[in-house]
Parts: sequence; C-alpha cells; structure tokens
Amino acid sequence: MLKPRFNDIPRRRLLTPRSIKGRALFAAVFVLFFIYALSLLAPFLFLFVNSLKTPTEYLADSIDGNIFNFPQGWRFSNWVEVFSEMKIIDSKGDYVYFPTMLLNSLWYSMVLTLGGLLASSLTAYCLAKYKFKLRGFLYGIAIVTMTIPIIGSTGAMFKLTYDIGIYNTPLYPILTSLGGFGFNFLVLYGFFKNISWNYAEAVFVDGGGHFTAFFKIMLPQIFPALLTLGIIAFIGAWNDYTTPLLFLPDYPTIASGIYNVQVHLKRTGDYPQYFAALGISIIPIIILFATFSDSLMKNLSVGGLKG
Amino acid sequence: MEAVKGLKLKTETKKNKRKEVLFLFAMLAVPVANWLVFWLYVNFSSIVLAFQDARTGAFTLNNFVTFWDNLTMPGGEIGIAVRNTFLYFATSLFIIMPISLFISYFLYKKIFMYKIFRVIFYLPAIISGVALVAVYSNFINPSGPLSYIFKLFGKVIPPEGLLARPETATNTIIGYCIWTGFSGYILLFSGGMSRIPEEVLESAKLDGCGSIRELIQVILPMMWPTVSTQIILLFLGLFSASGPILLFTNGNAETTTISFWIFKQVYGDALNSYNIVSATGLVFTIIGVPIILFVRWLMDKVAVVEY
Repeated sequence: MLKPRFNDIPRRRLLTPRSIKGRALFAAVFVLFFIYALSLLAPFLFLFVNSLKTPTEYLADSIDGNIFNFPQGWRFSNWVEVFSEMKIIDSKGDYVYFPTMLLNSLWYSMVLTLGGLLASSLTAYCLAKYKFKLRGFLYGIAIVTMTIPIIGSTGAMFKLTYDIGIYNTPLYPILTSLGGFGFNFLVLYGFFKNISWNYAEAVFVDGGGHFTAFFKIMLPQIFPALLTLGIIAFIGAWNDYTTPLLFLPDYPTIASGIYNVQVHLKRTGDYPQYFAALGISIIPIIILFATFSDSLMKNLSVGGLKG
Repeated sequence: MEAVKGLKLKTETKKNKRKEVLFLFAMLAVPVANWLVFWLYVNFSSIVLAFQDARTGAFTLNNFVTFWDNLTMPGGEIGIAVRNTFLYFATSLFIIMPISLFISYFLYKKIFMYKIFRVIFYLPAIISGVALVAVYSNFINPSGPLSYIFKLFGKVIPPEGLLARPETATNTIIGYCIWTGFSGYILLFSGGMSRIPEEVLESAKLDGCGSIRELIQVILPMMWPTVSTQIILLFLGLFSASGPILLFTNGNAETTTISFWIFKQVYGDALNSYNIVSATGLVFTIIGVPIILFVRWLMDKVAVVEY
C-alpha cells in the first residue's frame, strides 16, 4: 500500500524544519494532555484530603462543592481505624475485618497469577518445542477458545462450582487459575519459539532430562515475559471485584469487600474511612507499578499479540 | 558389530521417546483437564441449560421465547441491555480507540513532558475501578467540579444527579469509560509505533508531510497488525461491552447491559434464572461467531505494509 522511495525526496526539502502550524498543533495537544493528566491525578488528591476529614465535614464540603478543601483536623487516625473498624458480615454471620480482606486479596491475586503463569508456560513450552500427535489439536483448542465470543456461560459455571463443591472455597481460584490456553499462552508461545533448542540439547547431552531442560534452562530465559504478564495478572486480580463477589462471598478481597462496604455507606455515612480504605487498597499497586513500570512498558509492547 | 550398535540405538530412541511422552503428559495433564472441565464442560452444560425447563429439567424452547419477549417488549430489560451494550461498543470503536491512536502518536513524537504523560496516562489501567468510580461519582455530583463546567455552558446538573435519570445515566457512565479507557490502547499502540523504522518517518517528515497526514497515511498502515488485532479483540467482546454498572447504578435508570444483566441474574438470584441466562448467551454467541469471522476476514483484506 505504501512504498516510500527515498530517492524521490527532493534534496532541498530535507532541510525544512517543523512548520509553525505543526508547532501550534503540538502546543494545543500539550494543553489537552496537561488537562487530562491533571484529571487523572485529581482522584489521588481527592482521596487523600477527604480521607482525613470527619464524616460530617466531608458531607458539608461535598454539598458546598468544596471536595478539594483541605481537612480542618487532618485526622490520620482514619487510616489506622480502617484496620480495626472496617468490616463486613459474611454468610455465616461472622465479621470479616479489613486486615483479613487484605490477606484474602494477597493470596487470591498470588494464586491467580502463579497458577495462570504456570499452566500457560507448560502448554506454551510443549506446543512450541515438541512435535507430538495432539499438538495440532491443542493449538486448535487455544485458537478456538480465543475466537468464539462466548457469553452467558456464567450460570453454567456457577452451577458446576456448586455441584463439585468448590463454590465459596479457596479451591475455586486454585483450580480455575490453571488454564493454559488464553492470552498468556499466545505471548509465551512466541517467546519459547524464539529460544534455540540447542540449550535443551546441551542439557540432554549432560544427562539431564526434559524437566531439567524446562525448569532450569528454558523457563528462566523467558523470565522478563513472565514478570510482565505476572504483574498484569496480579493487578487485574487485585482490582477484580466481580469474581470474588460471585464465587467467593465469604472470602472478601479488598476490592469486593470495599464494594460491600460502599453498598451500606449511605446508612453508615463514614465516607472518610471508606476513602482511606480505597487509598490503602491502591498503595500496593502503585508500589508494584513504580518498581516495574519500565520493564512493564517495554516488555508488553514488545511481546504484544503480534506485529 | 554394526547391527548390535543399531539395535542399541533403537532401544535408546524408544526409551527416549517414552520419556518424552511421559514428560508431555505430566506437563499437559493439568491445563488440559482444566480446559475440559472449565471450558468444554461448562459451555456444553450451558447449551443444555438453554434448552431445559428451569423447574423440571425437561426439554423446552420456552427460554428462547422468554428471551424474545423480553427483547422485543417495550421497556424490556434485555432490549435496554442490547441497546446499551452497542453504545459501549461503539464508544470503544469510534471514540476511545481513535483518540488513543492520536495520544500514542503525540507521545511517540516526544511531545513536551511525554515521559511523565506516559506514566500518568497509564494510571487508569492499574487503579481499582472501585476507587475511580468513587471519585468520579463525586466529580459529577450536582455540586461537584462538573457543575462548574456545566455552568459555563449555561446548564445545571439536576439535583437528583446524572445517574438517577435514564436520559443521562448511561451517557454519564460512558463518559467515565472514555476518561479511563485509553491506557491499554496507548501502551499497545506506542509499542506498535516504536517498531516502525525511523528513516521512513524521517523521510515522510522531510517530505513536508504534516502531523495528521503522517499519522494516517504513514504510521497507521505500518502498524496495522497492532491496530487490526485490537479491532478484532474489540469485536470479540462486542456483546460483553459494558461499563462498571454495578458500581454506578446497579442497573437502575435503564443502564443495564448484556453482561451486567447476566451478572445480576447469577449474583444473588435463585437457581432457576440460569436457564434464561444460558439461552440468552447462546443466542448472542451464535450471532457473534459470523460477525467475528467476517471482521477477521475484513482485517486480512487490508493490505499490510511489509518492512
């Protein structure tokens, strides 16, 4: 469609600098970017200042339209009290407190991340590096699974988890996380394809087996890809509130737990504490992102679907 | 001597072959079992549920009749859900994706402060929806910051709020989706752009090519695989398009979408609503398959620039 031919470019035009019109465009876009960036940073300021107010102070400011007003008292105690006071009631009538929600979030996100990465590494490696009878069939499964836009199987899934007794137990995330044919599979498949088989041959010559080759030599080589996919999966699981609401009602994670708190917020009215809880829920993700943002941005763009 | 060596080699390969089969079995058993249970069985049982009576389990087409009645009835929930789902889908395709392309372009062109913008623009992808929705809801309060912008245009936010009225509720949530929707696309598009050889752009720019022309006529064709993949993925989620309805309105004020309607049927409802969920899902899946095949075919028709 487009075949640039360098020889056709007139020599004199090579020296034309960016036009005034072009500069005006960049300036205008810069202003828009700046406003948009401010709007994305505003939520942090909002959560911070309003989490330090008293409930009545927040309501008054909210009605007056002063939601960015600094608090009169800077009640940092709100952030501490979240841990001892914020709670929801589970199906057995017991209280689940905020620290438990944090813990639930941690193991829930870890299980989903590690299970998903493990399963997709297994399938991706076998399909990328071995020739066997079912290979084509399994690759077909991966493609079909990702191509059919299935909707509405949630009911059947719900029924199944109920029937086999994993509904509302930690077994639910453990067993369902072990899917090896999704997006992660495609990315890892590409990575494994690009690693030379000679590494494995060297292991075999030294008397090592297939497992040694996989776990000791091949898997460490795709560590950057695993790290990137892992961070994305972890953030997704940490922020997911619908799955825990549906399948793990008695193991509220921080996301589904805070959602439940919010449902009753109009009655209790302790908005500042709610904002403090939201602030606390964001902190681990921000730390994770700040630590790995460089590799995240670089690896994801390189290892994207295709192209 | 030769024969003995050959025999030894043969048993050796046989033994190796067996080891390989064992290895593959051990590696693939769990992911394949996961797929058989949580994909194949779930979807199969969903199809069965669609044709079963909720109480007796007998074969029936009534679920589809109920679905059709609800779809065509004025004010019917499924009809509203379908309309809203298309609104969310169209917003992604015609607003969010093109704007993301523009944003990515100016970041790629190293607009002033582009490094900071890149990090800030990625925030919506990592911050929990529960937190963002909580802040956004405060922004659009009748007395919140949005009311000042409304005043500039001589308008007033109704006292009950934008989310309480069917005329404004869905558009308000769509506004949220646009505000937070660019992150993922920006990352992927930036990756696609960064792979374009620099000399091509150099020549285009020196050829007096303006920014917009450069983006549409040079960059877009060269990163078409990245864009077309995203378009295909978008169509794959056509009938699942939605906003965080649960967090905003819980489906009130005519804001429901297909995926939220399904969620609500399963979440906190009696067992007998699964059948209608399965029937509805089956209909949309069957409509979705030819659409996705057509879109894939169409995307492949667009000539790709080789470089």
